[in-house]
Amino acid sequence: MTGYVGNFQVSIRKKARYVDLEACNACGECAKVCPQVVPDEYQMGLSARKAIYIPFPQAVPCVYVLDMENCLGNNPIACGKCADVCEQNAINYDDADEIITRDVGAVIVAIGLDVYDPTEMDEYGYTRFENVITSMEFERLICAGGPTDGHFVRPSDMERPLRIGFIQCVGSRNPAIGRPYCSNICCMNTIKDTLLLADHYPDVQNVVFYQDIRAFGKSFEDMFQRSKEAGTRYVRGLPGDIEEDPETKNLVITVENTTSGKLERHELDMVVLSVGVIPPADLEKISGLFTLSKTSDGFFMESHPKLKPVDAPTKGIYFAGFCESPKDIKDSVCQAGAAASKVGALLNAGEVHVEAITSHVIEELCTECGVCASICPFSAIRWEKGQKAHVIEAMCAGCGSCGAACAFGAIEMKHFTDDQLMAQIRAILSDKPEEKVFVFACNWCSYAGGDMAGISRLVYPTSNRVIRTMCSARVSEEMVLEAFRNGAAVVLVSGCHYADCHYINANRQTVKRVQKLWNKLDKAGVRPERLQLEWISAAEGQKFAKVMKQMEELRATVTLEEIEHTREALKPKPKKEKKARAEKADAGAGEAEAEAAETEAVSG
Amino acid sequence: MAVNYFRCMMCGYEWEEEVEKGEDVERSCSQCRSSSIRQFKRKPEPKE
Repeated sequence: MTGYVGNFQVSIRKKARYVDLEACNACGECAKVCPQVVPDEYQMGLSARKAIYIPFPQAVPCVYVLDMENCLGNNPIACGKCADVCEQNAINYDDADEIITRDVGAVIVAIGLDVYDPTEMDEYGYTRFENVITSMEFERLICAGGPTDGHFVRPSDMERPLRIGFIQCVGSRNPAIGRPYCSNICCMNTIKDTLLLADHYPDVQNVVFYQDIRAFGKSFEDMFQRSKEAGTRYVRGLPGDIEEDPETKNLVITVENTTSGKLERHELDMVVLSVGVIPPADLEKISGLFTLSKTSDGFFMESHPKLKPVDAPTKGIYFAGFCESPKDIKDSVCQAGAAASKVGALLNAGEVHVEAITSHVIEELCTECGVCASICPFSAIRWEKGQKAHVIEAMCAGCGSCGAACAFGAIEMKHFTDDQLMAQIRAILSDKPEEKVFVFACNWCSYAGGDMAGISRLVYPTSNRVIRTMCSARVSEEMVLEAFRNGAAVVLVSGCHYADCHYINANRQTVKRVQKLWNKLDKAGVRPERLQLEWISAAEGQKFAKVMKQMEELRATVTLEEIEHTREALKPKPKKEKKARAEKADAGAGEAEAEAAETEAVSG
Repeated sequence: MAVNYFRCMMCGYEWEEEVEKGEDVERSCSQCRSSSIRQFKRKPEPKE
């Protein structure tokens, strides 16, 4: 995908079906004669399908597709049975993937989810015990269109289980396995499953092992109560492990009921692991393709969690469904509707309005180095070797990292200009600078974190003076040095946490810059600790207050002599001196050349 | 993988860690939770 809002060019790979879409009438004769049998992915591997198949009942279009990886047709041992029986001549082994190119104005990313694989949680014995299944497998077993036609049986003996246990939060709310978030849907899914079982088989006893039941949506609490009234027992406590009786294949669970404080032993015919959901495997690839950022949980990050929940930070890209965060069908439908409305509004307007805060290149100063283009998180700067950089304003999000990185002052921001920020720095430090904690805070997180500290009425020292920038990456080396030159005792650069960066990954530039500054301060004989870097999110008012206290303690250790020494040490070298040194260096080089020539002549 | 050295600029705590090329990791000090982490490729001189 290339381009920008209102003007994207996308290339779509249409995978080969090997069956003529128009000719196939889904008679199914091909599948009857196909000798290749493979596990059916749709039925979670609980039944088999042929190499030529319809992916799932009610698939649209209802046309067969040939799984070429498992088909014998193109192998050395040619089969071709499906082609022989197809009266419509719909089978085409020579079919190939097709690349379709389209111009589009906006893109909705709705790539869905993956389900957590409980294999790594060996304590639940998913791979060891036949009668431990996942909630997805349960779904297929109880479904009328499933492998058992809706007859619920346990895998070990194909008998109907009478005691079924559900274990919640498998792969959710578990930082130990890197899944600290709540998957949102599992509680209600289990409640629904218990109601289904109670409806189909009133004699079945259900036990749900949980840590919290999150029944917060419309009518959800009612459903939860109905499940309890239907006889489902809810035990507050997650089992540590599962044991199997080798003869009966029954499963034994020992669990501490944290409500009663007693240890309980349950013998069950079957256990259903209520597995959580995880970001889809191809999210990483899509993220790179569309320059999208992710949250710490691995899902896509929206432009703003409250005000722009369906917008991606990249303009013209919208989210729908699970790829943005775990949500149920209703919320996914709502978000999809909102995304479609946003796209409608964008395209119907006919023109795109961009924020005024964008960067622009001052061509006279541009040295064609391309640094700006290489660091722009939105790929909004076009540059080719030997050419001046050029900003595509429709793509620029205004983080300002390019402006801070350009060593030649050739990129200027519209708003938050270098001159404005420098003027603020000098104004703040014009009076008693040694008594101030100088803070650069990013607009989205750290500044909001300061607001949160204020709203929460947290107590912290009043010595801080905050300059807001759109992103911490907007803070250039020169700005920090200017603060020290103006007598700042300590300087704090603060921004969003890595995963929360509102400009994809612009704050990584902040880290690089601060590392460089620490080295520079070290070399100049200035205590590098006087420059601090902190990630403070909008919700971390407490952290903001704590950091301000720490900064104030640090400030108190800085003496007036130290500040004076810093002013001197960081004083910019006068241009004349620089020029003279350059001239001297040139002269030196000339002398060296002459010397070399002389030596050569002598040796010659 | 290469061993890099880290120093917390807030509390001075130092440690070493294996670093993957091109990694994207937010580090914080295990002692004071500060994000002011200075990274060194070679072992830094002990702090006075």
